[in-house]
Amino acid sequence: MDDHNAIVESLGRMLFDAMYRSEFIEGGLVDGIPIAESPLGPYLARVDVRELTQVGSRIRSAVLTGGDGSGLGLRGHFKRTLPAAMAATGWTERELVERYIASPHFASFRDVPYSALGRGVTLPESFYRYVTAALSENLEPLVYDEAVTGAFKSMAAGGRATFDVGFGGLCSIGAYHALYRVNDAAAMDSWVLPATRMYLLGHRSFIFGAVSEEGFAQLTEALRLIAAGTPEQCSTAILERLRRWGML
Amino acid sequence: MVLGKHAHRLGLGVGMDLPWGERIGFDPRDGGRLSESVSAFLDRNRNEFAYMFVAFQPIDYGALDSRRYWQAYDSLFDSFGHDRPRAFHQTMLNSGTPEAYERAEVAAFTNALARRYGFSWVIEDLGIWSFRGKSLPYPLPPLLTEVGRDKCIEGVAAWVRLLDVPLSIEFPGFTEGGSFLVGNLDAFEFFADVVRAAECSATIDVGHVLAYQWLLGRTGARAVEGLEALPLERCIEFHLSGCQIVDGRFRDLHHGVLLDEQLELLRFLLPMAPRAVGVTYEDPVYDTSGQLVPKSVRNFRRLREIVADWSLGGAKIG
Repeated sequence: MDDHNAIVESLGRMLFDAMYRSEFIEGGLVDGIPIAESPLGPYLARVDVRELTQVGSRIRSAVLTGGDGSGLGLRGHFKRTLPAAMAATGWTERELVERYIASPHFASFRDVPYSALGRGVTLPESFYRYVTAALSENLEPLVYDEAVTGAFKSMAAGGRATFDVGFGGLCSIGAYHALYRVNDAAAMDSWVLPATRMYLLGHRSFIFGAVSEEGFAQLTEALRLIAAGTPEQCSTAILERLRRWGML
Repeated sequence: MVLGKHAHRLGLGVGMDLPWGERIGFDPRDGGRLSESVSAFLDRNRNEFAYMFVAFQPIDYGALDSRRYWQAYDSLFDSFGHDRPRAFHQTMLNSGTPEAYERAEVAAFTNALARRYGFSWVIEDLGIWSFRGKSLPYPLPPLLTEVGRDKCIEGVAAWVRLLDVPLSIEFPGFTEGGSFLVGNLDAFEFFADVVRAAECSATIDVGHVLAYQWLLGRTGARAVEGLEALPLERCIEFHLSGCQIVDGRFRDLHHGVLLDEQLELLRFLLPMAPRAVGVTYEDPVYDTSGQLVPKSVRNFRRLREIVADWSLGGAKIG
C-alpha cells in the first residue's frame, strides 16, 4: 500500500504551489528533502520538469487572463485592484498571482462542482477573500466592488449551476441575490467609489447602481412578493423598474 | 462482448471537438448550430466517414440539462446523416481521478443525450480532467501507483454501472504540453488492469501510445516494445489526431497532420485487436470551405487506405 494521500497532496502542490514546484524543479527537493531521499521519491522520479513548468504557466495564465472557469481572469475582473495590490505589496503581477493560487483562498474557487469539496465560489469572490485576508485591508472597498461585479456577472452568464455566492450580507430571495454597500469617506476618497451601491442579480441579468437604504428595502420587499407569487402586491413603479432592468 | 451494437467493422470514423464560438465549433447564437466551417466540412466529406463522435464541450457553467444541447447536436447529426453510427466523447467523467467524484448528475445528463442520439458507445481518456474541483489545462495521466490504479478501477466500474451505453476508456496522453507523470507503474499494464477489472472497452489513441514510448526512450524500431501489455482484446477503436515532434518530445497537438509513425503503429496494432470496429481520425483541421489543410491530406489518404484494407479484412501487418 503506497502513501496515496501524500502523493495526492504532492500532486496538488505541484499544480498550484509555485514555490513547491520551483524547489522540485530547480532544487531537486520535495518538502525540503532531496527527491532521492524522500519517501515520495520513487513516485516522482518520472515527473518531466519541462511539462511541469508548462502546467504551472498554463494555470497561472488561465487565472490571470481567463479560461477554465475563471471568466475574464484577474486582469479582466480586477482592472483597478490588481495594480493597487501590486503597489501595496511591492510584488510583481506574477508573484501576486502565484501567491494567490498557492493560498487556501484559491481553493474556494471551483468550476467543477463534483469533487469531494463540493461547490465553490467564482474566481472573483475567491480573490476577494484572498486580498482581504492576506493583503491590505485598505483595498477592501475597491476589491469588494470589483469582486461582486465580477461574481454577479459570472452568475448572470449562466454560472448558477456551478458556483455559490458567499459575500457577507448577501440577501437571497428566490433566484435573486442582492447586496447593499455603504462606503465610508476614506473609501470614497481613495478609490472614487459612490457613497452607496446596490448590486442585484436576477435569473440572467445583473445591475448595480446607487440607491438609498430605503429604496433598497423597498426593492427587496418587492422581490419577496415576486418570489412568493404575489407580484400584484408590488407598486407598479417598482415592477416597471425591475422589468426595465431585466429582472422579471 | 462489451460493445454489442456493431458486430462488424465500421471502418473510418471522424472525431470532432467543437467548442462553442470557435471557427471549428458550434455557433452559440439562436440556441446553437454548426459553424460555417463545420457545415462545409461535413457537406464535403461526410461520405469519407462511416461514423462520428463528438467531444463534449459545455456551453457555460449553467445547468447540465441535455435539452440545452439538442439544437446544436441535432444540427451536427442531421448534417452527418441522421441514421449513421455515432459515439460521444464525454469529457466530464474524470475517470482517472485519484479523489472522490460525484457522478450522478453527469451520468443522468449523458444517458439523456444517449437516449436521444443513440450513441453506440461513450469514450473518455483515463485522465485527471479536474482536480479538487478545478479544471486542468490538459488532462493529466492518472497516478501510476497501486492505490491510483484501484481508484481508477473503482471509478471506471462506477461509470460502467451508471451509463446506459457501453463505455470505452482511452489510453491517456502523456505529453500534451501540460501534463506530467506521477507514479512508477508501467502505463500499459496499468491501463490494461483498469480496463479488464472494470470490464469496459478500450480505445487506443496511437499518438498517446507513441508519446509514452518516447518518454521511455522507445523511439524508432523500439516503438513497439511493451505493447503486448495493452488490453488489445478489449480494444474497439483506435484514435489518430495530428501529432508533431517538438524539441525531442512527441506532442499530440490535434492539428490534423498525422505522422508516418502513427500510421506505422496503427498497421502494427490493427491485426492485434480482433474486436475493433473503427479507426477515428480525430480533430481534422480545415478551412472555411471545408477542405482539409493541405499538409494533412497525404497522410489522411494513407490512413483511409489502411482502414479500407482492414475493413475488408485485408489489413497488412507492418
